Amino acid sequence: MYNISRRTIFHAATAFCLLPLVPSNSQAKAIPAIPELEPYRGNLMYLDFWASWCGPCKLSFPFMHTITAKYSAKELSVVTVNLDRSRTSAEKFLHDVNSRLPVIFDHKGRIAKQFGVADMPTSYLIDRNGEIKFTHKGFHPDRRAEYEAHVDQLLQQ
Amino acid sequence: MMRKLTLCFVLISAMLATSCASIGVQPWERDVLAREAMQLDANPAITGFHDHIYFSKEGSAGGRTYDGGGCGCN
Amino acid sequence: MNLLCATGANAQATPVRIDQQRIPDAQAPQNAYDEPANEPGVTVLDSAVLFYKEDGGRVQAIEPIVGVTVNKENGDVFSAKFTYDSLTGATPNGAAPATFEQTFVSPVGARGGDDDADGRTGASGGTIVTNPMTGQQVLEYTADANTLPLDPGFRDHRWALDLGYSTQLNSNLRASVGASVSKETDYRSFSGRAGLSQDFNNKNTTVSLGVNFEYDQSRPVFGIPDPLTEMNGLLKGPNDSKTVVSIVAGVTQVLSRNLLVQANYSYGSAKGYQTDPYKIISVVDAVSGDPLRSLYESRPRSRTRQSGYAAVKYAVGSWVSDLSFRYYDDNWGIKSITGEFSEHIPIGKRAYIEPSVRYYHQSDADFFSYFLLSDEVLPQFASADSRLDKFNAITAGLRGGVKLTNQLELYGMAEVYRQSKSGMLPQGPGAIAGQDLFAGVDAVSILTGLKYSF
Repeated sequence: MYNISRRTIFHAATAFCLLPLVPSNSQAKAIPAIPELEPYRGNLMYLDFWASWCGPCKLSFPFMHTITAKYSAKELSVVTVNLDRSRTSAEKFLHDVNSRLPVIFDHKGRIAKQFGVADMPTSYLIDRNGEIKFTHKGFHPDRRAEYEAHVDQLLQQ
Repeated sequence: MMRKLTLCFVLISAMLATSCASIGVQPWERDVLAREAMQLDANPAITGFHDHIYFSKEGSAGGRTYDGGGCGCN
Repeated sequence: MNLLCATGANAQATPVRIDQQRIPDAQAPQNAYDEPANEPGVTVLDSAVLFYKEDGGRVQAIEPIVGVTVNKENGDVFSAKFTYDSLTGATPNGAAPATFEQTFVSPVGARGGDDDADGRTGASGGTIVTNPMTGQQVLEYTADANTLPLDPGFRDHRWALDLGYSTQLNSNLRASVGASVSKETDYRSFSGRAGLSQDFNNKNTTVSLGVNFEYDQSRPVFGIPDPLTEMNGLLKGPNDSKTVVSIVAGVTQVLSRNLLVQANYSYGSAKGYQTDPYKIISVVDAVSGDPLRSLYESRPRSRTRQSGYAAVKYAVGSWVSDLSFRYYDDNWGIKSITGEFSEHIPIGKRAYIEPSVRYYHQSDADFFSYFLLSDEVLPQFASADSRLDKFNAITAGLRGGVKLTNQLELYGMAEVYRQSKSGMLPQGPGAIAGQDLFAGVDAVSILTGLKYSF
């Protein structure tokens, strides 16, 4: 007879609860099927999730403008997804950062949920086959070179 | 009384830290929490004055932390 | 697909907006204080001045501060704050009132370093008296009959500097350090702190731990008196100090989009000199109730304290309610509870007001006493300092602010603070039974400040 003590059960439950904290191995996975992203299929895509109340998002836009200027639309599509509940706030932010990038409005976070966005902002580098190759959690200005290197790397492939 | 408080505090922290059930909001639902008016230490100058005055005129002193809440960015 | 703008040749000129969900626009933030708090890349300059005044000719202070907080783009935060304090006025010396005028004596040069010879009234408010035989000088001051004796020579300057630095170690872990120095004529304080905060559950839960170490030096100009010895004009003993170690642990939890709660536990241990070198306690006649002599007070050299704190912040529209409680106790016998409530109310698009109320109650320290009786054995510790008394205190305040521009904010605060005796005054013998022994404070504070972000 197996005598499973309460203690064992407690330990097992804790371990199970802690599982989400274990970093998952970063295998490339296909992006979920999102109708709004259809026009960008087949192209290398830099997909950025942002909101007007997010400070680092303000710093990420100049970076995205830089890579938009550096690479032609045929090489790289830079697409942003806005998660503000208020369209007015989003538009004001876009005006402040002087952005001409495409914006998909995801008011209820449906797309964010499908992608499993866990940080604000989050950017995904998606290859031509629709697989996520790099995930940038948050925006760190001192890692700009690293972010660009990721784009370069995917362009070579 | 303090023992109970300490035990209570440790249990709550442990429960919340390892919680399977997601109490809280999604990372993109923190617009209200990001507001100035919702910060835990919205006006450090006034907090500083209060701490000093109350410490000088009363017999208690209390430590507080100000981490958490906010936009949760980066 | 629902492209809201033209495509084709003009695609670059007009940005693409895709909105499949056709949801009605939620309300945009209505008030400037709905905007996000300090963001990376923003530096904040903050300057303010506090005016503090107690009733009855007691302590008055002016305290300007200036501070800067640099939020670097990489998430590091550096802060520096400089405070200057100028205090004047009188403060209860701890003696009990009598039905006759009382004279108290203190060594010369005891306050603000002023020295006045020739018997002229010292700038600090007493009279310099020279002993014609020994040439020794002492400072004398009096208290009228039936009034709480006040030490009139309370005048001091203090300056303090605080530095802080915090950095993000990884996405969920933040570390911070800080140091503080505070100096006044007769007191110096040095402290250092370090803390860590860890996020869990997509940053809905934050657990933090902080440790603080403090070293304080008490350096009264005339020296440290021996405990429970009689008040006199002689110079006293050498300086003394204390060290305080404290830790604070906290957990903050986001409960919903509008609701944030926090719980903290703090523990501190102070070892060393914790007596007020200027405070005395009266020995009164066990029958007549007349104060016979004054003794320097004495407090234990060890104090351990704990407190538990909980707070809730709840937003409804642009209004934010803040409710908090603290329970405190220490091994000196003081237990206290504090409850605070404030409501942030937006005014128009750029301003807010925030009424607040605070209720405080503390029990007295084990060794607190309004006076000692002449027929009692002297206790080991005794103090008549009202800070250690049993009392209630209420603060009613109103603060507010207006964003003059997107970068410049003007803010202010006005508060009334009132301490009142809790419980019964002791039934002392004779004359003392009719005296008002409670030495608590009634004070008004007004603060005004400017914050500039760039």
